[in-house]
Amino acid sequence: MRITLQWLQEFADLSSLGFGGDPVGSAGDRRVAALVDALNQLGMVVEGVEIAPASLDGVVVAEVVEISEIEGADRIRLTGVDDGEGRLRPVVCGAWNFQVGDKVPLARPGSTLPNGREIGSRKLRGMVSEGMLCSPVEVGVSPESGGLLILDSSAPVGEELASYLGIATDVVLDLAIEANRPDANCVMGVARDLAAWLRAPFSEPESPPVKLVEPSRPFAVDAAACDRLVTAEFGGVEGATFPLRLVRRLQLCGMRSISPVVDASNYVMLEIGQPTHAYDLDRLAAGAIAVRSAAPGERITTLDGTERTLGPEDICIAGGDGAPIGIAGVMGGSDTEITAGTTRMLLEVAHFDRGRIARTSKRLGLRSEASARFERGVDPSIAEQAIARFAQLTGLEPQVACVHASTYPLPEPILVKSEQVVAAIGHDDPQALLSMLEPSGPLEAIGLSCEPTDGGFTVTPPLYRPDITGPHDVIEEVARHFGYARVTSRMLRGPGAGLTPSQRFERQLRELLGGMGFHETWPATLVAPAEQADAGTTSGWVTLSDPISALESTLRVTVLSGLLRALRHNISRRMPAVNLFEIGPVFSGAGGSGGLPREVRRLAVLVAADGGNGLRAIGSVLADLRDFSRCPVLELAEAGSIDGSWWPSLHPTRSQALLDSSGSVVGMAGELLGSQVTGTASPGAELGSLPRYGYLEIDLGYLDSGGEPGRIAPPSVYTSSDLDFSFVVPAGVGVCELHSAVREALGLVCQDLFVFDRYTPESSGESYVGLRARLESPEGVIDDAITRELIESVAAAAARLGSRLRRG
Amino acid sequence: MESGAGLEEATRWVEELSSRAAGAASGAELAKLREAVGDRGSPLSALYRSMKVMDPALRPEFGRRLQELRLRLDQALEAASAAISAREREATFGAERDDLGAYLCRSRYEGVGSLHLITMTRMELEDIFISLGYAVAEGPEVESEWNNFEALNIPKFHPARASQDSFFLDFGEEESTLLRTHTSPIEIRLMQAQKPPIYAVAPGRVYRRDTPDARHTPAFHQIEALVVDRGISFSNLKATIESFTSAYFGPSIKARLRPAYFPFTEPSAEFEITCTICSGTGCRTCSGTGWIELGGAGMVHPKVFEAVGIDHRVYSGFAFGFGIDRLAQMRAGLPDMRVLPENDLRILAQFRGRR
Ligand SMILES: [Zn+2]
Repeated sequence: MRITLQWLQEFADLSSLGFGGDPVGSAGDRRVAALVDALNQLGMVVEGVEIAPASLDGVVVAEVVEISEIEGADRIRLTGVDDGEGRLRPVVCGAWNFQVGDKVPLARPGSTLPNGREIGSRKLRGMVSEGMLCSPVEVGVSPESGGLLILDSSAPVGEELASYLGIATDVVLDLAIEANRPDANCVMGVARDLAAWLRAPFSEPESPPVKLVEPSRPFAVDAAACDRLVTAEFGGVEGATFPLRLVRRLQLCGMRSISPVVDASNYVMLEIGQPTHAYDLDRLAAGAIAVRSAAPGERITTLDGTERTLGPEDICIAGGDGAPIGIAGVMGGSDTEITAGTTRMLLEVAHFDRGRIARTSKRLGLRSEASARFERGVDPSIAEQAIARFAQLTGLEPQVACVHASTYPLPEPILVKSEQVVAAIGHDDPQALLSMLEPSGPLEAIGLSCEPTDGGFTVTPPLYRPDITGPHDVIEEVARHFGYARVTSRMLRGPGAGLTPSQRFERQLRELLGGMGFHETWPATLVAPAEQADAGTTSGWVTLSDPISALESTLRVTVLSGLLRALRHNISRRMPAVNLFEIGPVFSGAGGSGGLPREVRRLAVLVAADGGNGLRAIGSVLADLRDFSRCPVLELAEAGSIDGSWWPSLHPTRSQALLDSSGSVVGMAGELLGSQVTGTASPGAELGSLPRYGYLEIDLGYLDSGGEPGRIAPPSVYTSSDLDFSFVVPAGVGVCELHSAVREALGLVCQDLFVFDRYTPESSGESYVGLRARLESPEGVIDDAITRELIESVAAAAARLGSRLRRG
Repeated sequence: MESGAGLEEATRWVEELSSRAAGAASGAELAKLREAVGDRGSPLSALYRSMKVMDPALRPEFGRRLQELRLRLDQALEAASAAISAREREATFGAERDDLGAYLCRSRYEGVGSLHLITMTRMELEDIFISLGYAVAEGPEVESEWNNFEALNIPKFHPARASQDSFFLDFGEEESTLLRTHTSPIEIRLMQAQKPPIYAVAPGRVYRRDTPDARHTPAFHQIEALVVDRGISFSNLKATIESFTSAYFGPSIKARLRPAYFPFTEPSAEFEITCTICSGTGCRTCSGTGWIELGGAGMVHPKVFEAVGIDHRVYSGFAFGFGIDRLAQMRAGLPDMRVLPENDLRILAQFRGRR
């Protein structure tokens, strides 16, 4: 909200900030800085400060004495004007909206206009022009041009225009007003708060009072929609005026000048916060309005020319014939709006239900200055003040002003205990805090009546603070006017829980993967359906109701769907060595709980394989992760044999599902398909010079299920020996199965066991696997007898798997 | 004299052998020469044998001359052998010569990986709160409308909902589930699950339906501190924000609070810190004010306590939160946040070693 310094000063005495002497010259003025600081400390944050110089030195009231044609020029004329210096000053002018005898502003040579234009003497078509006759734009009182600014005929010739209009250099402040400060949406409210903070006098400018009468025929008002309706009838509207200096003020506050009546209505709203609406009384059926809920499907064409459909939630203003003529508090209708030809008008000053205005304005996407104020809260008691101010500003006399409804409730008193105030704020001088609530203290100054009671205060908020409903609201006002900066700081420490084992694990896991050469990614959790499909999911994902773009319209079911985007991005930037990891959530529409989709955190690793085998590359990573996490032994299953809807689907013969001991799938590892890498449709897409990629996605909770490591076992002092085994393994028996069977057969003396050779002849179902065991015992050397026993038990174990130990 | 002639011949033989040794190309050639020296037929051997029949008076002098010749020959062979070893060493190591610099000058995309800038910033923030005695709490990214809004005293049609334009999901009842718009629902969950005292910090990813720009992406990260205990006051909140600020930004950066409005806290505050770019003298980043806005703070609203079943007559608390991404951006001097969702390796590789 934009307000000006001079406007504030009409309400609040700012002399304690140093104002009142020299005019403000720059935004860096010390006094302006103090004002900004005060407003900020009150929570009315200043987002911008602009100096609006009057810049009218050398611009005076002049009378046009003669007008003559210039030979050969049909756009400009020569005028002779009297500017009080006792001679006719020749001025060339391009405007045509004036005649001899008009009073107009003259910028004498040497003056600089508010728009920065420097005025001098110059020659035009052989004529000397001593200065310039000015338009409203050029003297800064209106954004609209339309010829010269014609001044009142009573304007004294030779008087400085600035002093004639009452214009001086002003400061525009752009304030951010919080939602709980409906009172601060107007100049008066800001000034009241500021004066209380400065402990300075506050006064409301006086307008001639308006006499309210009981209506002879009260308008129908639905009390649930509107608890205050006051109207005033005005005649002679065509003669309404509005002071030019206030036009400039409206303009500085971002309001366009429309007509004296509209300008005055806007001015009253900015000044005291009460929106008003003017109807052309001659276009108003039966000269009456009514306030009611709209009927379902009722239609109205609003001021902006749009036809809108209303519902029973909306509050509608109807004409005397019952037809809708406006959306209450939001926007008027075009049929009854005032025009240039309006002579009689009805001014509506009302107080509508906040929630309903908010809903209507949100639903229709129509937010006006009026609706914003109504939905935050307007003081229902200031209707007569608004009418009086409107009348004063326009120079119109209300013919009749009536109260049609006045059912608004009065604020409830709030009991606030002193100890509650002190405990909540915690300042170490309780008396200083409580002095805020004392008679003639700052809270009284902002309108809260504070009655001392036993051990506290009974506080009654004013009607313009509907946000204050409980003790905490009062305490906030105490803290605010005491000053947040003044409150003592008291240090506090928690009991010191530290990270949980899972949180420590996750940190170490990230460090490990970073050390292994993987870069952590920014999780792409919102993906396109096509990316879900590329990763192997065809349905079951959760969709956003209103996505920004189709590319980010669904929640990923697999981490892969998001990582493929990163992979392809880097390949397209000619960086195919993509080694990434990510810890983040995946989501599924099925299997959730508590009314939410399923959400599980997973680790994903993407590795560019040096050789031609992505499975081998990711296998080595998985082995590291398994050793690091000590997660329980993984079972492997053919990817095709599991329910894969919740997992990525990868290269069909180079991928396997990871199962926990209960047989549930906890992960998927393998090689990416060519189509996944390149984004083309064919699964066997040519990778060209691109590497193969290995990929792993695994439940974080599973990786973290390994528990704490056991004690460190001391190494044996006896000589160790290696024992090599060579097996013929039938199709369908995995290396892991063989390995664990052999390990079990070897027992405790097996210190290490690993694959050292593997060969699968083409066109053979069988494969050959070589395992090397490192045997060691803390009790002695492994002798030939023990070795023979071990070989026999390994052979037997292999046989149980249908595998054969080759001897010799 | 016969013996005199023999000595001259032996001398010539020693000289010839010495010069052949010096020219020997390999250890094998040298070994052949050594064989020739040891040969019984060599001139030196013959002279040694002749001493047995010599006049005893002449023997000492003759023996000394022979010894000299023998020594010259051994020295020549030794020198030749050393020269050959040196050449062989030279050949072996010369072939293995290498330059450490060649390994330092590798592609910047090889080598160790990195933790994400956001992760590193988040961990650093967590560590500060851990040092203040807080636990770290987490929660899901998809939340119920109740946890995200209702429980936080943000009923339907509340203006605060409009300012946090949400991604609702096509899941369950209309507008019943959404991607959380702030980390506060983590605190709701925490207060429902745990009895006070609660001292926790809740980091996490949040989503708002905003158009991306240099400082905003629809998904971003927040961290929020929550304390619920007996006798917690605004003065505790103030001190905690101040000590967090100096712990993270250093003692020269100050924090200040000014009144603000949030539905879930009262009194509420916006907290600002000394501009880290200009150290408070005023610059473009801080619009000349010397301060930059960091986040929101306040005393937990009694309605929030009611929603989670904590007795606000017994307990009070405060909360404050701010964006992690902005801190990360400031710290790393990243000009535009919109590069992060691309996961471009040229960016990620620069996160290495940042602490
Ligand atoms: Zn700065």
